Parts: sequence; C-alpha cells; structure tokens
Amino acid sequence: MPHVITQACCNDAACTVVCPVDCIHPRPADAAFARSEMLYIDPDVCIDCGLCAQECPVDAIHAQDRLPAALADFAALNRGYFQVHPVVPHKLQKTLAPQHQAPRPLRVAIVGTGPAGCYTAMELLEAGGAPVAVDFFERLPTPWGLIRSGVAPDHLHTKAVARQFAELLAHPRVRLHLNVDIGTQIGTAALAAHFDAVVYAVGASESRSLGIAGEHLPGSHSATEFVGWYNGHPDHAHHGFDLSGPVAVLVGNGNVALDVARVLLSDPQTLRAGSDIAPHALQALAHSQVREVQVVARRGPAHAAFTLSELMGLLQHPDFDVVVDPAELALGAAAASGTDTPFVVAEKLRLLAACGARAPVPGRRRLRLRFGLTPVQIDGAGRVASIRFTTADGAPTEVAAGLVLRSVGYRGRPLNGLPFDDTQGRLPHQAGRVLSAPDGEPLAGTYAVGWIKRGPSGVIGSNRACARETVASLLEDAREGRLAAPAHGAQDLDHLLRQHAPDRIGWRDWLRIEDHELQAGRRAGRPRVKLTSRAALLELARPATPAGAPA
Amino acid sequence: MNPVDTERTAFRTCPLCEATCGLAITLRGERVVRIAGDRDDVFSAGYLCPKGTTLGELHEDPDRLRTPLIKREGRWESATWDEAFSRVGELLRPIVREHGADAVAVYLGNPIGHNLSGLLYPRTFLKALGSRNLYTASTLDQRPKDLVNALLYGERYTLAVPDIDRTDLLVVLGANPVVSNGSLATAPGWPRRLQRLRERGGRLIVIDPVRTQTAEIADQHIRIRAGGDAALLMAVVHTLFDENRVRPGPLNAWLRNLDTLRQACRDWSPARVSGITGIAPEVIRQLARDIADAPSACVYGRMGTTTTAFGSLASWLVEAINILTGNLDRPGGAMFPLPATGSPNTRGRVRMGKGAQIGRWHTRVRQAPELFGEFPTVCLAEEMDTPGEGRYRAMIVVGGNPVSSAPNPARLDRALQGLDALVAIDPYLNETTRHAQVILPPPSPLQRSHYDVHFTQWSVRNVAKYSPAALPLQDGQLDEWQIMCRLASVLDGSGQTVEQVDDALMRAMVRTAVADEASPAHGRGIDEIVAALGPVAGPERLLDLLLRSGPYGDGFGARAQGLTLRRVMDTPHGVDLGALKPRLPEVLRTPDGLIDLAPEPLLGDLERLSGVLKTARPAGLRLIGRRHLRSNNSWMHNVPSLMTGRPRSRLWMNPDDARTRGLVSGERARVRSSAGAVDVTVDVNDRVPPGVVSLPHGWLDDAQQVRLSVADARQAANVNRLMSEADVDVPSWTAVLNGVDVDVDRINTPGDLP
Repeated sequence: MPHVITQACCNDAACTVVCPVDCIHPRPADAAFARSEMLYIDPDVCIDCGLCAQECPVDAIHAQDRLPAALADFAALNRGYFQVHPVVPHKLQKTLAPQHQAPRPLRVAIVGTGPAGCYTAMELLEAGGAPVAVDFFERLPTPWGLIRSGVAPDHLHTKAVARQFAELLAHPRVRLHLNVDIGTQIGTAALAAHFDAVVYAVGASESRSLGIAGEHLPGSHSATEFVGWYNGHPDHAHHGFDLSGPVAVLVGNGNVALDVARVLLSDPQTLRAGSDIAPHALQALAHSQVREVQVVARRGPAHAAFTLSELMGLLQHPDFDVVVDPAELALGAAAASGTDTPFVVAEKLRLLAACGARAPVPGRRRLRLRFGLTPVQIDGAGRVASIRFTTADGAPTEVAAGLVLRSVGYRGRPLNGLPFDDTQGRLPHQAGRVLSAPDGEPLAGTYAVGWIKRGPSGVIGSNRACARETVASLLEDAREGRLAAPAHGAQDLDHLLRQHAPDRIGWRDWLRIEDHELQAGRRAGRPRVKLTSRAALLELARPATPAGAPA
Repeated sequence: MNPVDTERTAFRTCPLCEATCGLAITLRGERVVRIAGDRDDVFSAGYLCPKGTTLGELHEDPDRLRTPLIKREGRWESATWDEAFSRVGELLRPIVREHGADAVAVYLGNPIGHNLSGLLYPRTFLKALGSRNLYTASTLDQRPKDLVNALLYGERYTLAVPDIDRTDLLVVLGANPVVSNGSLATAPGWPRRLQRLRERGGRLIVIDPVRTQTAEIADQHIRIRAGGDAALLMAVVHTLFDENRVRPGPLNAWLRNLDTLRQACRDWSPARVSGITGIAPEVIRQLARDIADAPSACVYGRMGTTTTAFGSLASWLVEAINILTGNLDRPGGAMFPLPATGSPNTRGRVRMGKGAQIGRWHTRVRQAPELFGEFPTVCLAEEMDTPGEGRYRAMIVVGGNPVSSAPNPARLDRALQGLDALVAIDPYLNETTRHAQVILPPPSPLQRSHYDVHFTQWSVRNVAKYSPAALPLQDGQLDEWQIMCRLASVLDGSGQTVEQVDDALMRAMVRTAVADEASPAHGRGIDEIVAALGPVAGPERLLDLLLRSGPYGDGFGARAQGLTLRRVMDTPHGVDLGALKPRLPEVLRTPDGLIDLAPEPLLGDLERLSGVLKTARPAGLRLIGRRHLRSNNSWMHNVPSLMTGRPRSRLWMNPDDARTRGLVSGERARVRSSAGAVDVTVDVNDRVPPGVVSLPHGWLDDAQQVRLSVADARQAANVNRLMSEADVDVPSWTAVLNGVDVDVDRINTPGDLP
C-alpha cells in the first residue's frame, strides 16, 4: 500500500527531499512544479516508507490503508495523475553541503513573519551557514502572517506549517521583534543602517475592487475584511457583518472565496471544536440566517480559480451541499487554463459535472458554484439588497442577497521610503533584488520575497522556491562584496527599538501569548482561543514590565 | 547498443540490516540507476526501506576509502596493499614479540555480521594472532539474549524467534520493528507482516514508554515506565503461576527447575511492581491472561529490554513466559530456525553440549568474565589506559566504530590515541579509525557477493539466498576475505599466500564437517570433499561446503535433491525452505539435554532487582534511545539521501516536561548524566511520556580528523557521552544504554534578548 498526498498539500516539497525513490511529482526541478496545485505520489514506485509523511509540515500525507474517510478520493487522484503524466522512476542525486556559504558574518533583517519571511530565514540559515543571523520584524503583536490571519480557521493542518517556523524562532541566531512597524515607527533607511541586508516579506494585503456601482454600500465588503474578522486579525476584529439574510454572494472563486463560503455555511458546533475561529465570529455565526452562499465567477468552470483539492474537500463537507447549475457548467468547458495541468482541469470538470447531476437535499444549507456571471451593479436602499450580473449570453440577472463579499485579487501596499510598481502592485525587483524603479538599478542590500515580490499567487509552500531565489541573490551579493557593512551594530538596534518601538514584543513574550491561547483552547475544548485585540495581546506579553523597559 | 548504455538488473540481498530484503538493482555501466524491491524475492516479496535504495550512493561516496592508507608523521598517505601489509607487520609483530599476542586486542563491529567474508574469515587472522582479547559490538546490545540462549538452550545463537507470520498474539516489548526493520528476528517487511497479523484476526500488543510507530498500529499500547521491563515480566510470570495458567504442554518433558521459578516469582505480584512499571495491576494480570489464553502467542523483546540495567533478567523472563504458556517451539509461538548453512545447534550431538561457555577467563582491570570467548566492550578503554602488566598496546578493529557506539567515547578516544598501533579494516576514516596507523578498505557492498550465513539462524522463515557481486572489483582493490587472509599471513609471519591461508581454512572446515555426526557429509574422506569443492579460493567455496554439509545439503552426493551453492545460485530470488518447524528437543545443546528454567546466574540477579523496587525513583528524567528508518547504528550517516530533511539527532521531550523547563521545540539544551553532558536541540512532542527523554545513537559530533563530510554537515550529539562504562547489566556485562537518569536545562542564547 502506497502513501497518498491529500488536500492540505502545501507544495513546499519537503517530502521530495526525503523520498528515497523520488516518486513524488512534479519535482521542484520539473517545469510543471511551478504550475502544479499539489504534489502526487506515484503508487507504483512508492515503497511505503512513510518518510514523506513525517516530513510533511501540514500532515497532508497518509498511508493509503489509513486514509481518513473524508480524504479517500485522493488515492485515486494520486494514481490518476501518473496515468496522465507517466514518469520513468529514477533516483536523483541529493546533496547536503551548503551551496552559498556566506563569506563573513551577515546580519539580515526580515520584515514580515509570514511564510515567505520564515522560508527566507530557513534558507538563509541553511545555505548561508554559521555566519548568518536573522532579526524578524512584524507589524502585528503576533507572528505568522497569513498562516494566522489568512488561512481558514478550519484548515488546522495547513496552519500546522507554523510548527516548523516556531522552531526557526528558537534558533540561537534568530531574534523576533513583534509589534514594530517598519516604515512608520522605524524608517526603512534607519533599519537598513543596522543590517547587512533587509528582506521585505510584507505580503499583499490590499483587496482589488470590482469597480462597479454600489460597491461601497453597507453590506458589501472585501473578503479580506471578513477573513481578517473571523481569524481575529487585530485590524479587522471590530468589523460587523450582516448575517440576517438567507443568501450571501461571493464574487470571485479562488480558494479564499471557498473558505469564506465554507465558514458561512458550517455548523457553528463544527467550527467551535474543529477550528480556531475568533470567539466573536463564532458568536455572530451562531445567529447567522445565511442558508445559501453563491460563489460567482466571470468565466467558466475550466477557468475556476479554486484548486482541485479544495473542491474535493468541499464536496466531503458534512454541513452543506455543493450545487452547480448544469447550464452554467457547459460554459467554455473546452478552454483550458494556463495555470493548471490538463489533468487537474479535467478532474475539476468531472467533479463539477457530478455536482450538477446530483439533486440537493431540501432544507439543507447549500453552496452554489456559479459561472459565467459578470457583476454589473450592487443595489439597495442604504444597504445591500441584491447584485446584478450579466450572463455569458449578455442577459441580465439578479441575485437578492444581504451580504456581498468580493474576492477578486490582492495587491501590495507601498512602503514609506521604498520604490513601488504601481501597475503590478508590488515591489519592483530582479530575482528578489529590489530595484529603484521597475526598470531601474538594484538598491544595495534590499530584497523582496513572497507576494510583495511576485504578486498574490501560489500556495504557502510556493514561498520556499521564491525564498530560495531571493536568498541566492543575497548571498551572491555578499560574496561579490556588494553589501556594505552596517553602520550600526546589534546594540544600537536594541537602543533604536527601545526608543521607537517601546511596545516591542519579543520571542519569549510571544511564547506566553501562544501558551495562553493554547491553554484557553484546551479549557474550552478547542484547538486554540485567539486573543484578537492589540491591548489584550500586549497585556499578556508584558505582564509585569512597565512600558518602555527592555524585556 | 553500447553496453554502457544498456540497463541491466542485478538481484541482491540488502546487506545493511537484519531484514535481508531482496533488491532489484538497475545498473547502467558501473552506475546504479535505481534500486527497487525485488518483487520475486521468496522472503521479502518486494519490500525495501530507504536504506536499501542507497547502495549506489554508498558505492560512489567520495569519502569512502578506495586504497589503503598509512599514517606517516600524522598525515595520511595512500599506499599499495604490499606497503600497507608490510607496515602492519612492522607495527604489530614487535608488540606481539615483546608483550605477547594478548597485548593486541581485536574489536569486531556489527557490519561484519552482514557480510559473507566478514563471517567466514576473521578466524584466519584471529588464529594467527592468538589473542584472547576479543571484543565485539554484540557485547553492547544483545549479550543478555546470548547469555539466556546459552543458559537455557545450550548455545548463544540458539534463538527462538517470533513466528510472526502465524501467531495469534504478538507482544512486542522495547522494540520498534516497524522502524528498525527488526532485530534478532530476521523478517523483511515487518510493517506488512504486522498488517497481515491483524488482517487475519491476530492481535498486536506493544509495551513501550514511547508511542512508537509500532505502538501506533497496535491493538493495545501499554506505556511502561522506562526500565520497568524485568519487573513487569516477573509479575506476568507470577500471575501465570498464581492464576494456575502455566501450561507448558509437551515442553514439560524437556524442562527442569519449574518449581524453582515458581518460588522465585512468588513475591512479584502485579501490585508490587505497579509503581516501578507505571502499569496498573489489573492490566498486568490481563496481559498474562491474554498471552496464556491465545491459541498461539509470542513475547518478543529487543533493545529496550536488553540494553538496560536488568537486560539478562528481562531476556530470561521473555523466554520463561513463552515456555510457561506452551508457546515455545510451536507454530505461532517462538520457534527455532533451521538455517541451510547450519549453526552450532545443527552440529554435534543433539541434547549434549558444554553448556554456556562463560567466565573461563577474565579481564585484568575489573575482572569481567569472557562470554563465549568475547570480553565486554565496556571494559575496552580501561584495558588500554590502565598502566601495568597486560595493558593492551595495539588493536585491530574490523568494521567497527566503538568511539561512536560504546559508552564514554571520550575515554575510549584517548585510550586509542595512546596505543602503540591500531590497524583497521574499514571503508571510512571515522572517530575510531582516525587513530589507526593503517586502514585497509574493503570493497563496497555492491562489489561483494552475499549470503546471510548469520541471519538465517534468526530468520522467521527458512530461506537460502545467494547474491553475486553486482559490480566487479576495480584494479588494485582486494576483497575483504583477501584482506583478512593477508592480515593472517602477516600476523603469523608465515608469508603464506592468500590461497594458502584460504586452503587451510577450507580444510579445517571440511575436517569439522566430516567429523560431525549430524552432517550428511559425516564420515566422508577429506580429500574427496576438498576435490568436490574445487580449486577456486574464496567465500563461495566455503559457502558451498556449509550448504552441502548443512541440514538441507546434498551431502556431496548423499542426498540427490539436497542443496548446493550451484542450486541456490540458479535461483536468484532465493530458495524457500518453508515455515519454521518444531525443533525440540534436537535443537538443545545443554549438558543434560534439558531447558533450565531457573539458571543460577539469573536467579542470583533477582535480589538486585528487588533493591531497585525499594529505592524511590528519582524525580528527574530518564533517557532512552530510539530508531530511525534512515539510520543504521554508527554508519550510513554519510549518505546524502539518508541525511536530507529534518535533523534527527534531537532530544524528544514531553510537553509537560518542556513546560516546566521553559523549553520549546528548536531550542538548545544541555543534557547531563553522571557520566557526562551533551548539547542538543529539543523536539517537544508527546510520543515520549512525561519523565522520559529520547536521543538516538550513532551520530557524529566530533569530526576532527575524520573524513565524513556529509555526516559532519548536520549538527548532532553522540549520546554515548552520557553513558558510563561502569553501568552494566550484571550477569551479561552489557552496557546500560536505555533508562539513564539525566537532567536537561535550557541553554540561554543571544536570541532571548533584548
């Protein structure tokens, strides 16, 4: 019996490194790797050793004979991939020796503690070797970026990726500075003066807008706000959403849209025990009247933005039915998208067709996947009442809904003191080296990684390859003498932090918060109970220390 | 097509561990393209583990030594074999002349047990040397089993193995065969076999402090306190007597001292041991009942039982339970294999023997007894560094790295440095061989033929598998048997050729075979047999002799359908000789032909166990080891594909213990025992229970003057720095490697502040 990769696959390819028979595909060196939604195990080559399962940061790999029922379909999916993409078994050469040893002590600042920043530190410490030391800076009082505030609260396996990042923070040459806003509290130039290099991993947190009338009516929000709200992001925890109507509409059908729909339709009891959703959101959802969520996309099912594995997970959900209109299913079925492999598109279409053929259970909550609808206008007197679309045939249609959430993409936010590529919504860069302008020169010692570098694409593990590229550039610059030694030392940095970021939260402080949340979760029978306000987080981080004193 | 471009497949039994899996090795020219499991192998049926896929990497490892090395003025120089052996003579012969052969000690490592030449040829140079001071890796981990086998069945390798393919209940104690691939029970594909056990309605009970991967697939996991095994087993034996469940059945005819055992366990009630074992009395009683009531059952104990302070007692009681419940020597119980190349329990007169050969001579410093002609490795360093008459002045080390694998490596390291001479047969420059003056490298496993002469004695099914070398020797390489024959010739100064040494060995083995009443070649003429074996020197000729004169052999014509090496060679996926069959009483080689259920050396150790019950358990932590699928004791850590991924040399600690110490995963901590200290990275997880920490063995943490670049690329700790050579299982003098009291403290790092 082979092992099977399932829904939570994060593509960070840690599994491929340990596989003794190299049966996990596509492999990072393959052209298909960058495009692939997930990785697959070739069941005819797998020797069932289980090393990949132990290495997987998100527990996505299971022995086939111990596959959880909800993931049973993934066995056929793994096998099916190799029927479409056959491979010849071949053992790859593996190496351990650091590739780009740093030539001298290097102090690197990483701004942002999400996956991109964390993978950057992992790669730096591994490839740079003993001379490298890392300081993390994070605007929020909590680390992990979108792992904490973006990943759906019921995707606990995906969040487990933070375990390896938590170990990273325990590394003797890594320091953590939470609740320090680079660009406002400490300027980018001041930061640069204290480090050999600064890597920006600040993500892309701005939602793109629909650009239609009525978008700003109460009841119309970005999905980002809703996600931040249910995940207890301190900037979004205060929002309120009207859940009194029976129908909610999500514009856009990426995985975030599916997450939001799933949370809206899940039984609150399921969410209480099986997620770390913020307490205020849980309370609000307990009174929700939403019975149907329509997830609406402009294009046809062949171009659906959600991943196959998320669709498979959705179809197994116990709390609601997934419904597709057979007529909409026929739209543009022939057109293959450029980002997925033909195998994935074909599988998605097959599953959607099965949904279309199935009659929903009356009275049960339902998620309607809709295709070929272009939003035209949001209507309502003082608040959202409905949204109008044009169908693929050009006909108008309207959906009555009390809540409209848009999830049609993200862009980065400019940082004080750094260039910005406004058309792309990200930092201009060349292989991770930040440029003075989109076609400009590299800014010495300044780098980018993650969404602020490549735009909002890929899954968590995609950041690993992205980080590898940035780190290779950084270490090459170090070797070539292109990095100026910092004007100020580590002690000066401590002074700077005391002066300008008196509410800085350190790693040990964060461990107290973490422990508090986990213990509170244990008492409540939940995975974790999050603290959602800056004040509460700060109070816990600094129990007895007067503000301004060093931790 | 150019032959270099043509792919070919070589079938070979994996020589890395005891599981003996069949490999299908795809080669192109001299290079390995890939290695898969041989689906047609009669024993392993396609199973293999990650280690088996790396023979190509091992072969191509740039750190693996290809030519002899001679150290001159502290620097290593490549040398010819003639130069190397000449240097060996210069180094060792004067020491033997001046101080006698006993001034040269020999250490044989574990890998020679997996190696045809390594099993058949050491006797050439051992005889030529004539030293009594022989040490083996066995004395570090399996000696309690050897001792108990010798005391009960008359011979150390007469091991009753779990009949896992037929048992109704397997009780695994202190072993993790899903990860280790099993030990002292050769069975390729333990995971599959355990799966099948459960599919046919059998049960698996795992007794282990750790939630191992074997425990995870068990029907019941009994989380025993580390070090409680012997006491638990005493209480199980007590319960069997107490509840009148002792049913040896037909075994009764061969048992003695049943009443002595009954008396001995009278005071060992489950209630009395529940403190030290951490197991409720009712759970212990139920365990005894489960074993007694199952249609067939087998208790199997390994490292967690043998490398503890009471390893001999625990090993004895495992046998006792299997015997008392009638499970010894019956299908589904613990059975004696019948190997095709024979063993001491297939030779000589049945039900007659000298008994356990122990204590005939002793070490100089601590008066430790020899067991089966070997001294305990825990005594090695002191015999080198304690001044006085009889101090070891030189060593020959074959396929062993005791500085890594024995307690107190720092002392052993210094002691080896103080020797006048050290000669090693080894493919690597490691922590031990760095102190050598001459290193003689054997070829890689792919360049050697293979037959498991040793592990077929412990195999859960009788099989005969021969593998020819997959790749030829390079010019200037010697096979390992040739190295050993030349070493013999140098040591006795005879100047004999390799062929002459080999001939003498072959003739001696033929003499033994024709003199053996049990052999089908018994009574035949020596010259006739020698002629039949042919003129070609080497291990194949000896193997042919063993097979033909063994239990299934053709007896050189006496049995027409019998085995010969040719017949085994013609069956590249192995010859299946069937499931194990009952062998009592012919397997016994005890002086009285009976099984002594209560041997004196073991009874005498019970008082020590009682003493432990009285002393309160220290509040601190207990250190135990663990296995990893990609590790193989102290070697194979230089193979890149086995070293990728998360670091493995890490201290496992329960979340409760971590919380009290303010530790989280990834942090550095210092582990201290009475013997020493190591710095480690902590991995907090609940696989280990509160009060137990676990650190694996065999990791390189001192790479000075070694040539193991891959192993050195990862931060690691040698756990044996925490082990003391003074801490032993008394009857067997086996090192205590499991259940060591330690303290663990966080190491403050700059990362903590500002």
